[in-house]
This record gives sequence, structure tokens and C-alpha cells, in this order.
Amino acid sequence: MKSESLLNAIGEISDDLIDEAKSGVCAVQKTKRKQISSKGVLCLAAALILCLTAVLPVLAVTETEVGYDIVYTISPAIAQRLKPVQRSCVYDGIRMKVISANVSGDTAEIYVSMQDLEGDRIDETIDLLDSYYINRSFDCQAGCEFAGYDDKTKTATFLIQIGSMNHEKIRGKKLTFSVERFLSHKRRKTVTLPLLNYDTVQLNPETLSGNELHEKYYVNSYSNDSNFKRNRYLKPQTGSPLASIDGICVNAVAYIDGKLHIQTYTENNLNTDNHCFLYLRDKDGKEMPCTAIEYDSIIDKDGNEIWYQDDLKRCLDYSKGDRSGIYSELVYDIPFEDLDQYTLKGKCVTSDPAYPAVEGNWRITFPIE
Amino acid sequence: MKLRQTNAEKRGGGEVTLVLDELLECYPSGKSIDETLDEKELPRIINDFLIELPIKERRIFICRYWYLDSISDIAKQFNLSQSNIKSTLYRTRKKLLQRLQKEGVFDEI
Repeated sequence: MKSESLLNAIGEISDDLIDEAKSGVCAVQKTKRKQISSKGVLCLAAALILCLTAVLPVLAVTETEVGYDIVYTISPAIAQRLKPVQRSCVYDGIRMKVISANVSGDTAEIYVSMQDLEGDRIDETIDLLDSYYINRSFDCQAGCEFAGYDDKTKTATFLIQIGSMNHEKIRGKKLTFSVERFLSHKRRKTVTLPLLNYDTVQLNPETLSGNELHEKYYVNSYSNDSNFKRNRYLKPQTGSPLASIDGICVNAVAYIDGKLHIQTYTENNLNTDNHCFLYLRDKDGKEMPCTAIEYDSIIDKDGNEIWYQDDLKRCLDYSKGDRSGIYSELVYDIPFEDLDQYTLKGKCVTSDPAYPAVEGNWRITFPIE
Repeated sequence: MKLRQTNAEKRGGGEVTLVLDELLECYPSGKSIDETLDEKELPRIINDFLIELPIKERRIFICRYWYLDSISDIAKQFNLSQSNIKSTLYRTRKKLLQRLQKEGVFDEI
């Protein structure tokens, strides 16, 4: 009756909000304004009075980033109308610039470039790490994707696609595009891991039940296995890994209850995009099915797990960890005596430690035309 | 890892158990929802609570607890790290707990 009643109530969330969750189109703007606090009403009134009676001061406010953000929160239309056009900007030696726009009725395609004027911090693997914002004054769907890279000029190009929700014409309206963070120099590689041999495999490893893992760690996903809590898994291992691929470690290969378990640990996943898809192939090249679990670890500089004592259970405290990582365990139903019939492979994407994520504040504003 | 492929198959399966476990955090110790509460009252409180959240926080909450999306699917959808999604959900659950307590929806067990 406890969580179910809450889940039932969540089942009655309004359709508008449910649609909004997937479409990203704000569904509560009007409702939200109705419920704005008296302090908020005063702020809104002040902003509107400023707008009506003293355009220049508001213009000055929107020229500062904090001022612009505040006004945009209250009224995107006012903020965008007053935001000065700035088709390019340079921050920390990296230039962002709008290249071109193609407007057709209620849709637009805009190309924006980012160029490193001082070094090679940008390459063809650039990832904006969801740190970009597309501010506009009208209801629309908007997205940004990588479009290309020119090695000669060290310039990456992004395509911003805009589609008005109400067939509203968008030509001439202003758009602000900003980026706070990006990562480049990602490496993609396919590796073969020679770990499936009888010398490497542990036969009596230390284990925990799924229930124990669930209580101690944040298990964020496991395959559709009804016995998850009763099944046994490898105890999270912190010693020297069997193999390491740029921070992605294969910690252990072991047999538990007649099944092959492979434990991996991906370090520092908060600041990198490191990930690896491990898979097992038989002699015919066929990929073998498996079940899997994944859980988090947050540790301080002394290697201790960091927990937050909640009313009901302990939780990992993501805000205080010096290092974080994800443990993952793959489980294959493969007999021990057939182990040498299989090959362990991995498709990995890792970031170069010499090129950590670059942080900054790139922001341009331009009319869509 | 391999999980990313299997996640899509989990909706309505193991994910429900995880979601229910997470929602337990929205209950203070030793209390349960007042059974005399009007059946429309709790949905109203939750809708009001959601409307007041920032849009991204609201969308992530609904993806997790209405659509029962896995953490990794939500992370992919929002192009955020899984840790970011989890900490966002954790903060939202704490806020919801405070809201439910403020609205007096709990009874001693």
C-alpha cells in the first residue's frame, strides 16, 4: 500500500505533462504563471514596467548574462527581443560563430561553428555533453547535432534544427545559442581481451547476493531477471584489474553457481564519456546472450565509499565524491569446460586524459533569416 | 555495456521493482498515506508539485516514474550522465517527500 498508492497517483499525472516529458515542449507555462508567487509577480511587473518605460536599462540588463537569464526566465519574448545581436564570440581562444541559416516557413536549419584559434582542443569527436542551450521566444522543437569537422581550420560545425509548434513563422526572430562545456579527442577501439583462460578465471570468488548489492550500492539497472535479489554476484573489486582500456577495467572473470561472471569498472564517468560494450563470441562468431547488472560507486580521496544517511536507507552522495565509477557485471550461461571456445571482445569509447573536458561560456545571438 | 541493449527490454519488468523501491524514499519512516484522503487529492498534490518544478526536473521525474524508463534510457534521452539523472531524481524525491509532509498526507502506521 505504500509505494503503490504513490505510483497510482503518479499514474494520474495530467496528459499535458506526460506529453511534455517526451516532447520537451513546455506544457505548464500558463499554469505556472498563474501560480507564480507574489514576489514573482512583483519581479514580472518590474520587468514589464522597465520594458515599457525604460527600454535602454533593460537592454543593458540583457547585455549581462545574469540579467539576460533572469529576464529570459520571466519572459523569453522580452529577453530575446532585447538581446543584442552577436553573431560570434571568443572565449578562451575558442570562437563560436553562426555560419548560415536556411529558413522555410515554420522550420529552420542553422549552422554554427566552433574553432580553436590557439590549439587543437577541438577535433571530429567533439561532444557538447548536453551543455548547450537554445533560447528562443516562441514554442518550438529544437535540437543540435554535430554536422562536420574541418581538420585544416580545426573547426567543428553543428546543425541547429528548429520547428515551430504552431506553424508560426520564425523568420526574423532571434535565437541565442550557448555552450558551457565540450569534450574532444575521444578514441574508439575494438579490443580482444585474452581473459577467458583457465588461469585467469576464479572458481571461489567472494560474492554478494543481488539483495546485498541492492542495499549497499545504487543498482541502477539489471536485466529482466526475477531472481536478481537471490542470485549471487562478484563482490565489487578494487585491486589491480585483469585488464584496463583507458580507465575501463575488467576486474574479474569468475564462475559462480555454474555461470561465467565478468565484472568491469568504469572510472570517473562523471567527467568522461568512457563506455565499453563487452561481448562474447563463440567459434562461429555468434554473439552470446547474457544478463547484466550495473551499479554505482562514489569514493573519497582515501578510497572510502561515500554514503548519505537517508531516513530509510543509505544512499550514495554524488555531490561529495572525489572519484566515481560504475560497476557492471555480465553473466553468461556457459559451462566452465567450454570456456576456451569463446572470445571476449569490447567496443570501447574513451577520452584522452591529456584532453579533459573544456569549460567556458560561448554564447551567440542572431536573427533567424 | 551490454546493459544498454537490455534496458529497452526491462520496462514493466525489473524496472518496476526499482521504481517502487525508489518511491519508498518519498515516505517518512513509520508512516503511510492517510487512507481517508480523497482519492483525487494525492494526484492533485502531485500534479501541483510537478507544475512547480523546473521543466527538465519535471520531465526526468515523469520519464522515470510514469514511463518507467530506465536510468540509462533517460540519460541517453537527455544527453546527461546517469549520475546526473540519479542525483536529479534523488533531489526531486526529497522535495516530494517534503511536499507530501507539508500537505499532511501521511498517517502513523
